[in-house]
Amino acid sequence: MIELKGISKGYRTIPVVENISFEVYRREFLSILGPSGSGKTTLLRLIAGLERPDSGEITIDGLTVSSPHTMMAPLQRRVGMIFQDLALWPHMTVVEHIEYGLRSKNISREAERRKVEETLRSVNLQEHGKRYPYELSGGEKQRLAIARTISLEPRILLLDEPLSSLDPLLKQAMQRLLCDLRETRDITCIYVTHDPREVMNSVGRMILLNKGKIERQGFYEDIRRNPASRFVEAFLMGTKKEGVEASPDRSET
Amino acid sequence: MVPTGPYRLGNCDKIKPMVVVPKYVSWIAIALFALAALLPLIFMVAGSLVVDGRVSLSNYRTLLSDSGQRALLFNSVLLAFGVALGACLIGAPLAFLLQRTDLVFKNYLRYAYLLTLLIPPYMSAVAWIHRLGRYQWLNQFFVNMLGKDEAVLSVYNLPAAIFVLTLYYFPFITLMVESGLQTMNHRLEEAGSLCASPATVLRRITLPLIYPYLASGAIFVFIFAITEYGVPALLGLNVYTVVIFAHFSAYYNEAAATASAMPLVAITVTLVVLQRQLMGNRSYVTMESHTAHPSRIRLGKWQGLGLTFSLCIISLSVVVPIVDLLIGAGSLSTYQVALKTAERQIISSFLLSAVAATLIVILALFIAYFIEKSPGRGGSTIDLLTVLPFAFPATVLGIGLIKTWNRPLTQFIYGTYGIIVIALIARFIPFTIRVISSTLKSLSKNLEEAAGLSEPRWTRNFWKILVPLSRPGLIAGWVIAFILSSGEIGATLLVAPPGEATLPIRIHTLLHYGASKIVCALCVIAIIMTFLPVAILVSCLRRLRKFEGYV
Ligand SMILES: Nc1ncnc2c1ncn2[C@@H]1O[C@H](COP(=O)(O)OP(=O)(O)OP(=O)(O)O)[C@@H](O)[C@H]1O
Ligand SMILES: [Mg+2]
Repeated sequence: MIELKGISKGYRTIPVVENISFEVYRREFLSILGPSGSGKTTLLRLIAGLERPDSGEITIDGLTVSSPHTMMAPLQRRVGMIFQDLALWPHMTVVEHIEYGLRSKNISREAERRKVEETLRSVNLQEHGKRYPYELSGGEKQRLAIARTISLEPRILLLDEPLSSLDPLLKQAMQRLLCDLRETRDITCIYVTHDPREVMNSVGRMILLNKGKIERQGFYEDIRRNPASRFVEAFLMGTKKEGVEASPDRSET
Repeated sequence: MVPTGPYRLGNCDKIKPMVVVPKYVSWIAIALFALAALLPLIFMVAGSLVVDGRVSLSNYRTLLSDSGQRALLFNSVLLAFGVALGACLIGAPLAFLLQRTDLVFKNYLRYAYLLTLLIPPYMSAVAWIHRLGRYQWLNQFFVNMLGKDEAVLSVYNLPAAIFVLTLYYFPFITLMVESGLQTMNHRLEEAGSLCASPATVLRRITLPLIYPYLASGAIFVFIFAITEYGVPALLGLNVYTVVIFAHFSAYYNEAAATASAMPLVAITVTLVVLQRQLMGNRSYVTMESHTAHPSRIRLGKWQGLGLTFSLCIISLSVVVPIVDLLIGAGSLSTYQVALKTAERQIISSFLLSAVAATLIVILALFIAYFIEKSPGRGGSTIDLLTVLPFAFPATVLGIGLIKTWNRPLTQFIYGTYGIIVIALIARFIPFTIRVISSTLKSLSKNLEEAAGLSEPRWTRNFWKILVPLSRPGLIAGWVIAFILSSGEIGATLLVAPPGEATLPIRIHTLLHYGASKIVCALCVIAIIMTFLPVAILVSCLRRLRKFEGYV
């Protein structure tokens, strides 16, 4: 279980994330929603251990991993992160991307090779092992970024708008892939996006961020039925599910 | 779930938990840099303030009252200003022709103009001395016919020095302006061209945007020229570097020599600070592949003019000196003799430059990384300190090195080639740091963080991720450091252990007996020696292009 307690973070004098507290349960799929600049990436980086909080603390399974005074190294937290710009290494092939992290885990070459193969198969990239990132399509790049992260068997998977640049069909396929991965492995997912349409089919909880503060949290349907604030209503506008009648109490302007 | 703790702003954003190179490694590199490059400067400035064991400004007082000093300053500034201006007038149009027009043979011209850098300026001076030697009859003619009492065509004057140095330093301007033109978003120009003529776009949009590159290129060239020793020494000019050297070797009064250099240092330090402000976060050298710029200017009937201009520059700066040297050397047997007389210096020069360039790149990478990853006061202080050595004339640095290392305890460095390597590092690390840090700037920090999330050992992340990703900058930095090192003379001349010398020093010494065949042959050999490794590395760089644009 991940627990954030009063986490704040600012750059210079501008607060970016303010007094955020929430919990994520084991194997949960939590979505974090918010407009551009609301501090989503910063929040993920704090959880990953790439930034130090100014105040508050983060615990994973009861152990304090981040506080203004203590920082556990990202690798020890066993978090995986898929960056907004994917951060694929331009000078490495698909196979080398996966091997890179495995090499540090004292396993035999044979086991390593099998692991690479298995990981690539799980994201359907086994044909492209010898390619460089620039030889991959957008969707393939995304799958490579996912493969690189899950090959390390993280407990927590942080996804920073990994699907934002894909077309709707590909998006669905990738979401299915992520769901499969979560079911077959023991992974807690935190999924960040600025697009409410990406999460409207999600069954998990979601958190709505606005200007670095939590605006609302709960399940999508509940939030949509009862937006409770102008901001939430405007943000979710136009995302009603297919086949569901527009409720009379919601204006569509 | 209950919000706890009030929000308070810490200074924690200065602590970056995820860096590939640990701080202590960078600090070691910075300490080594300070030892090689800053310590001599401190020793020297401190030394100039001490007279007869007491702190005194008397060295400086005599300086102010000396009218000869003012002439010296004037000469030095005039020389450097002339070179900077000339280099801008040649370098900027050339950059524009190469980047923004459909000039024919452009791809060959890009490499040709860079060849200029392979011929150290003292060598072109030798070539021109040699050439005018062959026109002696012309001078004789002027003297006889016009009744002039001295040779009309002479290289032993200021304009000749400006000419020679301009033809060497213009590529620095071209490189900088080209990088400005390349990194500039061409949409800006396109947007302009929708509502104005090409000339207006050039004047109102392109020029203002590349101005920082041009101005800081000019400052670099100014400093290079004002700290240059070889050419003014050969041409017998009355400028600081030469006079300081003469003072030092005649009277061993380095305190006075240093004090006399201080006005000059004041100027260059000011310029260095100014240049840093101008450039801000911009990149010095872009190694991007030269993809077709969509809005090229069609030269049309101006094609001939553009080509003539470029070819003139390249032939004056590359072809003429090389041909002169080849003619001067004459037959192949001269080369055999030359090889025999300077075999030792050729090998040691090559090895010393290679070792120095390698050390420079390693230190520069760690230091540049530190500067890039340290926002705020710390990073910018180190940044400023690393440009300081650049502002000191080569001979002043040489004297400082002698003062620092000529002690019984450090003879194992001072009496050996070690001191030459230190001198080369001190001279050329500032420029290399700039080149490498502009490459590091262009890397997304997520690339390193992704590495940190996969691999705990920083050494592996360093070798497998950081080094390959910054390879274009590292190679460019090595090439620049190697080229500059193999042509260095101002500082090495002073610190070279007795009996041991580099090739430039050997050539310089031989020149006292005139620009002989041997000297020309040695110059040709030196050019080849520099060219070979550079050619190999540049071809590697071209192969690396395949990743570029995807970083
Ligand atoms: N390194 C930094 N230095 C200064 N300010 C920063 C830095 N990183 C982020 N910010 C600021 O913090 C705010 C939140 O940034 P963040 O990247 O977390 O937003 P985001 O919600 O991920 O936005 P987007 O959807 O556009 O990715 C922004 O206003 C941004 O300008
Ligand atoms: Mg973001």
